[in-house]
Amino acid sequence: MNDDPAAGDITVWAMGEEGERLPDFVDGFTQANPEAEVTVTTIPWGDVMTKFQTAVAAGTVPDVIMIGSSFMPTMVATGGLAPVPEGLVDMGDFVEGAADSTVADGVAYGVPWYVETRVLYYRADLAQQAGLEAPKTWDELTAFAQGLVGNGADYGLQLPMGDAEDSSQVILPFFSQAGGVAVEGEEWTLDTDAMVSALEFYGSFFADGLSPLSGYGDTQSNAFIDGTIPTFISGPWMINVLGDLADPEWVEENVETAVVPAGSANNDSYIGGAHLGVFADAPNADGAWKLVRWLSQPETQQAWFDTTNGLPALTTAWDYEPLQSNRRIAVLEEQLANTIAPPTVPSWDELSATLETEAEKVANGVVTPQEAAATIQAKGEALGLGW
Amino acid sequence: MAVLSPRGRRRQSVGAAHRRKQAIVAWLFALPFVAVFAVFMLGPLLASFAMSFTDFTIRDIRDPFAVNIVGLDNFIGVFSDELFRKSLLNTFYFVLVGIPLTMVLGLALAVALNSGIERFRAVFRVGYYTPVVTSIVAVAVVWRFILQDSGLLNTVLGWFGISGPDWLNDPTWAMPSIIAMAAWRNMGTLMIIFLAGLQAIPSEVYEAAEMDGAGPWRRFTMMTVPLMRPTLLLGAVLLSVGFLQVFEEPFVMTSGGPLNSTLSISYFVYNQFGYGAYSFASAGAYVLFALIAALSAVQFRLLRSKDV
Repeated sequence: MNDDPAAGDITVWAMGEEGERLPDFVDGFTQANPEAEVTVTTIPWGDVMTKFQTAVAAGTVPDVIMIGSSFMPTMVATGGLAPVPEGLVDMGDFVEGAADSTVADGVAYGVPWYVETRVLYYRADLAQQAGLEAPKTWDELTAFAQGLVGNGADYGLQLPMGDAEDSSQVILPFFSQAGGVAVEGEEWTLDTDAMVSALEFYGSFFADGLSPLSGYGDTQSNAFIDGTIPTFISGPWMINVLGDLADPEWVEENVETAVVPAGSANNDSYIGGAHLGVFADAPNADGAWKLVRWLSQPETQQAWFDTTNGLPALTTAWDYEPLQSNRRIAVLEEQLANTIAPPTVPSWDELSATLETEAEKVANGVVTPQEAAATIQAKGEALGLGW
Repeated sequence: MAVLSPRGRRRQSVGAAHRRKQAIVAWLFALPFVAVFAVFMLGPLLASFAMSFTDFTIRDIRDPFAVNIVGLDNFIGVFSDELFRKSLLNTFYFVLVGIPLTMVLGLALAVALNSGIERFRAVFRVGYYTPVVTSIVAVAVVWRFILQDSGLLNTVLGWFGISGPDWLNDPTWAMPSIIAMAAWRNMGTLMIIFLAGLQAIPSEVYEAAEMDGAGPWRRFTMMTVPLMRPTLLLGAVLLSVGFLQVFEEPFVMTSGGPLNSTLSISYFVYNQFGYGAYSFASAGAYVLFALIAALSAVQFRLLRSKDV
């Protein structure tokens, strides 16, 4: 990549709020590159994969696409994305979990744009009543949940259940916290002690009556606000969700966040977010990569945080007063040092459904953690990595 | 379009040339539909059928002709997939319980509307038909409200000291809940069809039976049901074609859970398409097609039989 100004039309596909904010935001880029023109098309989250596949199959593609991190492997599998050019950015400057999740089959196909990670949300007022402090280990989390139930809560902790609620987003971190690594070389390594302890730990909350077997999706926020289930693990957006339901001031006073409790190995938490990729058949690849490079600069990432509250994927962008002055963001920053992304392989999508169903069976006492781990591994071996 | 002009055309020309002209005109009128159908329905149907004999996946979309022909591997794979077999059983459960239930409800409503309540017939007809034309998403919201663990149904059961299950999250009760919802959504359609069938039965027949001293139940079993047989069969055919393809109810209510207890064949195929396993998913779809075709063939044979 040279340093000449970008030129020509650059078309971008983006989703959700990012898609709505980006058209005005890229004015900064076109001022610096007057020969270039950026057109942003907003795409609903639900239609992304279909539109992507149609475009790749027909060969009529835009230049740049925002890639929800979980879509990365499937998009790479189609052959529709171009590898990131040498020297465009320094991958070492990004949050490690995010940088890892852009790499598929040994090659980086995207540049991390913004990140989110999951933290522990708890009712500080109720915890104080029960004489409890934020849990730092698995054992403390169990004791924390028990203490809250002893203090009058119906349950201590909300956990997602099954494929419908994407429970792999908490089970995969449990697995990593116990020292598990999902893929080694070309092999799935899921029938391990780490998986057994992750499933045991997950299942124990249901067996001990500390987590409800259902209702997570429907009543999560309400149960948290009325104190019946005063703890859950989720992403930064939940502050606004709770604020809309209750009252932002009440949330400010009574809701605290903390990094997730550590297992025997670490306290890795699930990392999500979005990357920026360029199509293999992009009509204006040069302009596209220059736009991606501009979006990956510290000042741009800081301005983007001001625009959307999207947390910078670039670690060098975090030295910024608005990011440093907020106690909730401080927790997220601490958590971002220890994250785990889903394996960037196409078959994870299908395998995670099996993991979620097996964990559901463990929670319902239908199978043992050992049996479940063996089933998950067998499914992984049947699927391969999917390349 | 001189062809269309009636003026100057000889009336008695009903020769082959004229018939051909008429056929051309007819096809011209049908052309927009035929073109759309061919491009958006028939093409994909045939492509999907061809695809089910190859190893085409999401990895091949940039070069779709670089696939290998694998014969019946996908079909063997579908039948040896534990989850597919489970979805097959779930779908049979749904069909075998759901169809009789919906038929009985539809017939009961039709009979009730056909007798007695003359004055409010229109009101009831609209009322029972509303679920059919209401968006499934809106219906799902209401049904979730009813079936939730602490929902309306369990609250009412609680008044009688009954502790109801968590309907949608209990592997035993999720499918019955889905069936109840599907029956409620479809009984209106059957009611309309059966009502038409009932009204076609001449009232003299009933009067004669009454003279001979047949009571209402006997009139229903000995006369209404036999005379309604073609209509009942039509209802059963329509319903089984729809019910074998059940997808919407589990999709909006349970996402196929809990423990895959409401995963239907269509839902399985949908998931496999989502995973990018296009040829495998196509094979699953054609297994479903074969099931529906076989069942329909049996039912049409029954419909055509002389003693109807």
